[in-house]
Amino acid sequence: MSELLLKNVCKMYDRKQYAVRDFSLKIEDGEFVIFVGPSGCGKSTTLRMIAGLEDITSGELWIDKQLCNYVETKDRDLSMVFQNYALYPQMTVYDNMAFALQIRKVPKKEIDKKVHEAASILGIEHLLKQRPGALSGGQKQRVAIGSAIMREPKAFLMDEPLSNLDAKLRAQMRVELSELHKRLGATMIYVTHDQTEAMTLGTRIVVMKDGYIQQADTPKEVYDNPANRFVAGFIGSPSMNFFEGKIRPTDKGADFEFTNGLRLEIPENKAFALANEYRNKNVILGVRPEHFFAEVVQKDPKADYTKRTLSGKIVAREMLGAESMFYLEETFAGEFAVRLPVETKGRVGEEMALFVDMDRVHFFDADTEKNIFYRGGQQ
Amino acid sequence: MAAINHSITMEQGTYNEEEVAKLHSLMNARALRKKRIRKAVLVSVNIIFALFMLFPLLYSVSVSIMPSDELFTMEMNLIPSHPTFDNYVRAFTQVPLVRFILNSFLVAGCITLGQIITCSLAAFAFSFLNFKGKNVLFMLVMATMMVPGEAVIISNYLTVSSLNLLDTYIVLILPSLTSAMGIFLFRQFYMTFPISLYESAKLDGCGNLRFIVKILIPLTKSAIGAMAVYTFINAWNMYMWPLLVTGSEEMRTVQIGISMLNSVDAQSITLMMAGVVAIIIPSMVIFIVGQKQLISGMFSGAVKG
Repeated sequence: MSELLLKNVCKMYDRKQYAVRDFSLKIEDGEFVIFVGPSGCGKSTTLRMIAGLEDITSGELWIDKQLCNYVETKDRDLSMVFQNYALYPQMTVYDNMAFALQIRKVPKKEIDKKVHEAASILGIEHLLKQRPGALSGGQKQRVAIGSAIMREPKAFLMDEPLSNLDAKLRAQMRVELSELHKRLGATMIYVTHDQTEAMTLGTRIVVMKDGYIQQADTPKEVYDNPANRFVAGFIGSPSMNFFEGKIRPTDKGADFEFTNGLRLEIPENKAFALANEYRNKNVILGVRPEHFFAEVVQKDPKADYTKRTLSGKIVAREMLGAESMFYLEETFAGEFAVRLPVETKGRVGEEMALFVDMDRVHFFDADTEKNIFYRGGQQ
Repeated sequence: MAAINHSITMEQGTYNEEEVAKLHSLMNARALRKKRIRKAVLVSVNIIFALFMLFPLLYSVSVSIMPSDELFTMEMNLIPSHPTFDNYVRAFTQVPLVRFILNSFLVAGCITLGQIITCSLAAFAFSFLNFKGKNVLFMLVMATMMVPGEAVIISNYLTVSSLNLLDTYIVLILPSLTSAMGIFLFRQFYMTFPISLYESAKLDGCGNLRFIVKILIPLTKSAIGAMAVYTFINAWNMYMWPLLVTGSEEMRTVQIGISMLNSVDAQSITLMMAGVVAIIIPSMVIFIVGQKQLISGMFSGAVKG
């Protein structure tokens, strides 16, 4: 087990296009790091550079205090789980799992012991004599993970390992992966475009866009304290609603004013800073769908909740089971999504008034799109 | 469930069981008759075409077991009235046909083996490795396919003769040890090979050679089989080059050896036919054995599956 250090790693294709830029990250021993981002953001490329499947254009990769830029893939002692499993179809499950150790000339008895150990962890002991062709997707993925954990590599790399599985199996494997990580205490680097996977699995999330790291932090921090508008919109499902408007100072502090003049009162802790620095300037207000209420919950006895109200016409409604999603439209605010308890009344076409939990909203600079109240955080 | 039960009772309401059974057998008989007629037509058309295509071959087999006096008559003798194996015996005794066949087997075998090794290795480099000028090099290889063999035959002859290789097995084998066609065939096959298997093997600590031996070859058996059949038959049928570079009788391959039957006794067509039939047999056997591989290998790159 080991730690990885990436210093200003860049990847350029065809001498003109950067796929990854200035990627700097320290991955501690035993961490479960998730690279997440939309397709084409460079997350898989970064993982493949760590594995040695792609050359590093510039920058340094240190594995266990050893510079690994020029070390061949087969000598890096990493193991990888691929999206399409990459099992050798002509070999049995047993041989697939034993392959890496056979190459390293590990004694047969030891291999046998380890295969059975790994198989019992993953519950695939009954499949050892079968060939990959006879297995289902979930079983194949288990075998792929099995052959990865066999030789106790320095780190596990996983490239969207669950995206070929159906939804139910994916949820199940997610739990198993998380347990496996705890059990092995191994360093894992996991690439996904699914923010749910990122939030549930990772001890740290690295959000990427256009080759740049946007934010690298714990799931809770990424959710509660996004660095910029992109991270705020990408993490959380359904994604955050954004409204354009201006900061208007008042005698009590400050208000957020929509383009049509409707105002929302800003709580004291943020009001003064905004009133000072963004007086009459454009900002973007970000509200997550779960931070709306249909009825007032008086959290702050001093606050006047009638001044924190937004209304809109219901254009669609989805039943999710315990909750309902409402899609509302307001001419000045555009369409926005709201998550409310399932018993909330309201039909398509009706007007609906909602209270906004102003303590949990985010303000973004209209020009830079950075979170105005972003609290540092580790990189 | 309710819906299904409902529909069954509806059916039973309109027809009773006997009527339903009758209807079944009636419909079944009609469908069966139609199917049989279609099949009979198909088979007879196929037989006619097969006979047409096979006629030269079948006729040469028939001539080869015909005494020569039966052939040179005014009547049309398609089938010998006094079949004899005399022609075969004479063909094998007049010229050293066994030696020729062994020569051809040796030459074609070495060429096949050589081509499989060189072509698969070259194709591996062209499809799995990344190096500068890969595409240009591949195009160059492909370009050699456009140069007809006859165009370089003289310069090749001069080269081997200056190396003092004339009239040896080496000269028969050496120029055919690799082929652009084979490289192309293997490369097309490898292109459909999932690259993640190669990457996974690398992460497992597997070098290139081990990957080829342990993973690539076992998984591309059908391509190798197709290539082997194709190359063997081509090498077996080589004529121009062996004719040019071999002089002595011991070095001759079958295709040239057969023409010696012609010069020994110009009149005996039956004798020549016996020789021809004898040397067709090995290549037919190879084809029949490898036919399944040949077809699956030739088309394996065509559709994903």
